[in-house]
Amino acid sequence: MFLPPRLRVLIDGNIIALLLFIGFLAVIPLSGHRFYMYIAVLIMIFGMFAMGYNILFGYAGLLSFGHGLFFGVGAYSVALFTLNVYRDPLVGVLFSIPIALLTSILVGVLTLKHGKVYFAILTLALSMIFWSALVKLRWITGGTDGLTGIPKRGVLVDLSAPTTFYYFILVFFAAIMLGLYALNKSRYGLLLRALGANEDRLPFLGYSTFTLRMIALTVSGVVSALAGSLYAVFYSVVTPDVAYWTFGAEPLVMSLIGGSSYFLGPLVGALIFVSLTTAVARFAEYWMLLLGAALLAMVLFFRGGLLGFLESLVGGLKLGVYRRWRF
Amino acid sequence: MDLTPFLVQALTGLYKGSLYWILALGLILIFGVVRVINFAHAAFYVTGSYIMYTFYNHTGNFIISLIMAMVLTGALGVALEVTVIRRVYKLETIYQLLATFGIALIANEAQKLIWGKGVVYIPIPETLKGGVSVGGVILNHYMTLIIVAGFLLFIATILFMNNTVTGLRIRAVWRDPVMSEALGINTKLTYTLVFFIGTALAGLGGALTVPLISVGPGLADYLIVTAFIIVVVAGLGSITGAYIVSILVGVFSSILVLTIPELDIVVLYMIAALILLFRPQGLFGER
Amino acid sequence: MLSVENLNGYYGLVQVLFSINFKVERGDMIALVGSNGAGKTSLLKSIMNIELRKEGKVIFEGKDVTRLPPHKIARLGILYIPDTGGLYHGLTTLENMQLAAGRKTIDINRIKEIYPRIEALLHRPADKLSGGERKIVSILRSLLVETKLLLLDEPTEGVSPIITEEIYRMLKKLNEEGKTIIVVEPGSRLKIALKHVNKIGVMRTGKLEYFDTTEKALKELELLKKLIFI
Repeated sequence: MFLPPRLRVLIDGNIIALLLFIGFLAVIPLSGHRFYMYIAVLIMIFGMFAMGYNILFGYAGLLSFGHGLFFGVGAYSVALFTLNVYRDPLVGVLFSIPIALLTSILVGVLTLKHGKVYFAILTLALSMIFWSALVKLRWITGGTDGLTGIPKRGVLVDLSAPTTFYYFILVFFAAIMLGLYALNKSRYGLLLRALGANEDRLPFLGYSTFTLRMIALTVSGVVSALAGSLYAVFYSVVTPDVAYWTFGAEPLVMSLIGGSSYFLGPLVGALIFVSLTTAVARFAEYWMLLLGAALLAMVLFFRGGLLGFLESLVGGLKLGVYRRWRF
Repeated sequence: MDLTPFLVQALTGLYKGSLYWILALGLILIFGVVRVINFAHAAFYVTGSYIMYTFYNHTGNFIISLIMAMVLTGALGVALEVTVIRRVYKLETIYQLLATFGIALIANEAQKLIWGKGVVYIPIPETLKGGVSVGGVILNHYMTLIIVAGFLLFIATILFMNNTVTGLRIRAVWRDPVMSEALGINTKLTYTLVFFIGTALAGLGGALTVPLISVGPGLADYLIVTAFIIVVVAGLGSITGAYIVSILVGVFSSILVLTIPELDIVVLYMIAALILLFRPQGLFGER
Repeated sequence: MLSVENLNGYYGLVQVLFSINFKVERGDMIALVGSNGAGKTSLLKSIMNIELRKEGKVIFEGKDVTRLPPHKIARLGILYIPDTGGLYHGLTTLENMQLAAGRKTIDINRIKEIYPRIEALLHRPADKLSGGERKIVSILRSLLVETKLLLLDEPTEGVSPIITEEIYRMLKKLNEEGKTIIVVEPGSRLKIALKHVNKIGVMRTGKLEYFDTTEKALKELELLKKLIFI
């Protein structure tokens, strides 16, 4: 390709695939199919959740079992804000950002100083605190029934038409994906990957492991919370289930299915995950059984996920350029 | 002020804490020696409950059912160690957590398939139905049995670890697996043995639980979090610490239920989080 | 009794040992000398099948031990002692010895023959011993198992010259009792090693560049020094 060197560094297969995918999403409403739009919205929301999750998991090498906490914080802050303070979904979603920021920092201070094993256990414990608070603080959160009536039509924006709502989600999705791509290409992206690969070496290079992990956690937390707030507006209902740790493990499974060491891995995982769950929804009673089996199979046989599997196929043809799909 | 309700809760807390301890002990042994955080540990515990329930319904014999629950749960643990866990020892910690997490999910669902979604329980054995009076409060014989059994298990573990060759070898593998191999200790076998002991203990705890608490789906989710908190607050690897913290958590949570029922768990977790903030290595852990 | 044939060793994809060949006779006391990173430690670990992946062959007393797990190699009578001594922190000296002895009772008098001051150390945790004491205790463990071959990684690292002499005297005694010994030493210990061993090898960048009797080596001292220090 004839591109100036600066651009060649910025542009790779990932961004082209991403832009094509966003373009594809943008034309789906033209088909007029409500069901496709429904699935596409879920893919976008869980795609954001999984991509956000993977900043921590794939990049920084930290396993969180508590991302339901961030998703839940986003969902409940938009619910509480629109129901009690200002009745508007856009302002509500934006309001969830600073809340998520504060939550992430608090979680980081509590969990990041003890190493990876502790991080996994502590995030699990914190998400359980949050979950039990949601269940127990009935007068604020509505207990297990949750909060209903989160408005799509507000003072500033009216998202009650399905197509309007669809593009509302798409704008957030595109912004976050491009933002994450920029992060991936930036110095911080590089440092985070170095952190995941070899945490012992970084202090020698003059970077604090703690600060870098904190940045990763904050980005991850805010993106996850945004996904949660959009999810709440989408369904107009939130229940404590979204903060439960088995829900928080879903983005982990998505990242693994797609391939956690690929930039687009989590998004591919979300696509497969959402399509599968929707397709098998009728007999999804024992869904968790399949989830567990998939997880085990991934860990034992396909640690690279789907993209890793594809790469090993293509890699057999010795096409070195495909390496560029990895982040 | 009438203190009777507090005494009732404190005694309840003692037996609950003893059950937590049996759960936590297996978790510590497996983590310490095998270096795997066993996410499926509570699932093994609940499996023990279900096996106890099934055998008791068929035989009506408490002791036989208890032994079967222990042995079969332990055997299940060994089967998983040999087929799955062993293959992830050399991988990063993250993959070990993921593998056991996958097992936990599968186990939870499999239990729903086999034993249904309802709760199960069995009656307390006839011979243990009576009780003794403690400060005007009746303490059920069965609860006394659990409290005593928990304490005996604590003493036995300490004696086993410090005074037998097998205990010494387990401690050696705990400290330095490579050197242990070089000294002629079969570490692979030790791992399997410890996995058996750990999961059999979980089975024992689960089996002892059925006559007291109805066992059903979701119990494992709650228990594993409590067990993790106990182990982390005590300090990973401290057996004595785990016993003390288990009992404290049992008693404390029972009293919290009485005083602030809306926030009992939340307050308990908050205290745990604060302890870790100021003492990251846990109360009894060494740095 | 031990023969290493065409041994290549790898850490992951990185090769650290290159076609190493040598033979050890019963009753030998051998020093392998070389600078840091020459592959001395890797060679010992590779014989024991610890950490490294290897190609080639290791024969011990006529038995192919190339693919045996470490604990089985150890049970054949090879004791490997890492440079740290490999004592377990938190366990007492006695417990550390019991580990080597397995279910057999420890004969303290037998240990006293080699190291009379052992009794004062028995109930101290290994991490409370001095560096020299730690090295000595780790060597004494070879008395408790029927060790035929002792593989020692830098047994005198970081200890005073007096203790170094004492350790070598101990090793000599063990050697005279019939134990075969291989010690790995840095270049700085060349002189003292030459005083006690009957064969010497020099390692350099993963290869065994020199292997011969001490007698011969003393005549070619200049060559040896060149191999080690340049």
